[in-house]
Amino acid sequence: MAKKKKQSVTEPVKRNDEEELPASDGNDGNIIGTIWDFFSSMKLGIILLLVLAVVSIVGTIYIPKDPMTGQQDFTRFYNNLFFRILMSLLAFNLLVCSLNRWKHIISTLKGPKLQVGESFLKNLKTGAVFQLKEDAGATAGRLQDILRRQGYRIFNESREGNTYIAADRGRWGILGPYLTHISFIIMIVAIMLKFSGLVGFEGDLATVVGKTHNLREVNKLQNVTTDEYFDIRLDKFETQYRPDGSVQEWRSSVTVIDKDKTFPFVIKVNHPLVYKGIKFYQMSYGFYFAGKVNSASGGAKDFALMTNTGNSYTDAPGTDIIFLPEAFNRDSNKVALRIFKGQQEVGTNEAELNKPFTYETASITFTEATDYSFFSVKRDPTVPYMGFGSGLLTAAMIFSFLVKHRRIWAVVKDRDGAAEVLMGGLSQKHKADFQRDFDSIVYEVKGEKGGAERGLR
Amino acid sequence: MIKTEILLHWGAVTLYIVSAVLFIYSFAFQKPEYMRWGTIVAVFGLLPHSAALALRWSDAGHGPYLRIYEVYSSDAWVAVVMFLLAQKWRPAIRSVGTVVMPAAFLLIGMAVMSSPAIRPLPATFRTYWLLVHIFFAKAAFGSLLLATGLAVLFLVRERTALPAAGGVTKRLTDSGFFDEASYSLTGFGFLMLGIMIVAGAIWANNAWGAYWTWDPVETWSLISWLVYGIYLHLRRTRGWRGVRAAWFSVFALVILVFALFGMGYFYPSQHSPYISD
Repeated sequence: MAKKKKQSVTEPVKRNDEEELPASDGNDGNIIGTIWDFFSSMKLGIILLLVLAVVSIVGTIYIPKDPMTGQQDFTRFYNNLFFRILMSLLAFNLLVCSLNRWKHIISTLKGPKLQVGESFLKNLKTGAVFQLKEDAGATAGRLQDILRRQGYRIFNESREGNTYIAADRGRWGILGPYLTHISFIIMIVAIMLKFSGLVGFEGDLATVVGKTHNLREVNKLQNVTTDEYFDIRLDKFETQYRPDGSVQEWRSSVTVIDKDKTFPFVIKVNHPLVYKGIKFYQMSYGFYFAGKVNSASGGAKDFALMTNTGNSYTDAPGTDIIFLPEAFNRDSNKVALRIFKGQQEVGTNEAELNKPFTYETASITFTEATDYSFFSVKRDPTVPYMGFGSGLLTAAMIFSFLVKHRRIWAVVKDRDGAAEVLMGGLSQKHKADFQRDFDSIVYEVKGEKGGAERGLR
Repeated sequence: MIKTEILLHWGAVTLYIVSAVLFIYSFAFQKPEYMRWGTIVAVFGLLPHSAALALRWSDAGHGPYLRIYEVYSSDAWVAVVMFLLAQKWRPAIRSVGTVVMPAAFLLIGMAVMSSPAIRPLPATFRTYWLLVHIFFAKAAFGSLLLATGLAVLFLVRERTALPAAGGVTKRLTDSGFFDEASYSLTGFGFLMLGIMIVAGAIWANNAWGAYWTWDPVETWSLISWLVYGIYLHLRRTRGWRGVRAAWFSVFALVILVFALFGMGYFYPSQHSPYISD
């Protein structure tokens, strides 16, 4: 029967089966060494993760407002200097830990050390000591055959009549957590670059049916050279409905015009236009109105308005009368209009296209009424890095979960013609499974039947 | 059709309550044989539950992932299925029905108390990445509920020092199996949560051109992932196990539940069509 050292699971205790972290070489008072040691601390990493989680929570409670629009802006909090410093510290901590750990990774990949002390083996939680009435060489050979059959890589050495065996399986599994951390560094750098404003831009563009707009008209455009400018024309905007009346799709049919090159494209939700690394996403839509408004006392002025935007109404010059067009009916050729005096709504009416509509001393004439489509326009060079980082993260996590790194050591001693076996094993994860498999190996070495069934399952 | 759905849902609620009572009785009074009955009743409860969700899918024309009625019910369904699969894989896990079945009937109960009206699928939801995102969200919730359920059972055993009753439960107490299984399931849940966040980022990038916008639900999902990351690091490198780890697991699930179910009550979000009533 395999020996199982009983140990309380209530209190955290340092045992041989815990993570073996590379020990610090000591810095002898060297300031750089001290800083390096500080950042290579796993404890620091855990504290930084905790602080990052807490600060992220604060960012969902205290939500700053955009000074321009007065709207709550979730991103502003996370763009502040403190948050960036925190992310930088975490990235640096991960980098230093990864560099520090590299030697340990290489050493583990090379294989488990044969030179382990008997006290080390005896202290392992998973272990066994037993004697067999047979030749020590035959026992050692059988143990190695069993391990090899189970996919273990074997290292052995004979010294002073004893056979020392070290075996491992799933060694590449240790790369899982390592690559997870590397992918985290890549993603932190990509996110910091994205929000730094040094690369790419996030802007928007309202396009009117039939009109051609140049890229330079994009709001908040930056990090784009004039050589990259091109035109985009909105040919048609349509809303498609389901039988139940709900919206199924918005479609903006556009034409891209870049010097001699011209091509059509339909921008839909989840289907952006991508040209020269710049993406146009369907965000919203509405009616566009243009015309002239005048009053007896204040003269006349032209207007161009868009519904659902900050520029959706016009006042009559020299009066407190405000016209707010809401919709356009193509069948009747009329504009639905709301009228205000100051803050007070005083009526609704319809104004026919190209015919003046008069309210008290003010008059408004709509000469143009059509659809507009509002695009979010972006260039984000960090997307490929983020994609690589998240792909690596996913693969590394799956790898880490599926590939189990296991190590088994054994010393087979010759005791006057009999064999004494001291065995021990380590697995960082799935310890119950490992214990069961270890027991099964022990039973098989001892020549007992039903090893697997007698394990811990 | 909605009437039939609700009747089927109530059938499931009733059977889940019976199952939960059998599990709690079995665990509290050390009668392992009742756990078998609890499991059988859970399987019978899953039948009307599955039928209700299938009807819903057919009626709505999309998966059960819009508004509380669909989300809570499908989350409960995934949790019960994962529990049944897990106990088949490792019979010793069966005791966790003591926590999972009450959670399942609470979720499905809240679902049937909310509006069952069908919500049309928003245009931004018409992408396969949404399905990946939602599938992994539910798998994460199911596995992390199981993990915390095991941690809770561990705590109850530690606090009450219930005597081992033989059979399944004896094995559990002797080996610290609850603790180890909770750790393994948390690792699995952490993976599911990570894939959920990545799939959500890909979807957001395709829909809005921004893979990360610090949307409150998005941020709380990241917070949950970080908290579970801390848990795994504490276990692996700081020797946390047993009572401390179990309490941390409970704390982490509270954060996750708030991220998945609570945020909709506090903030407007891109996820509003998904989490609101």
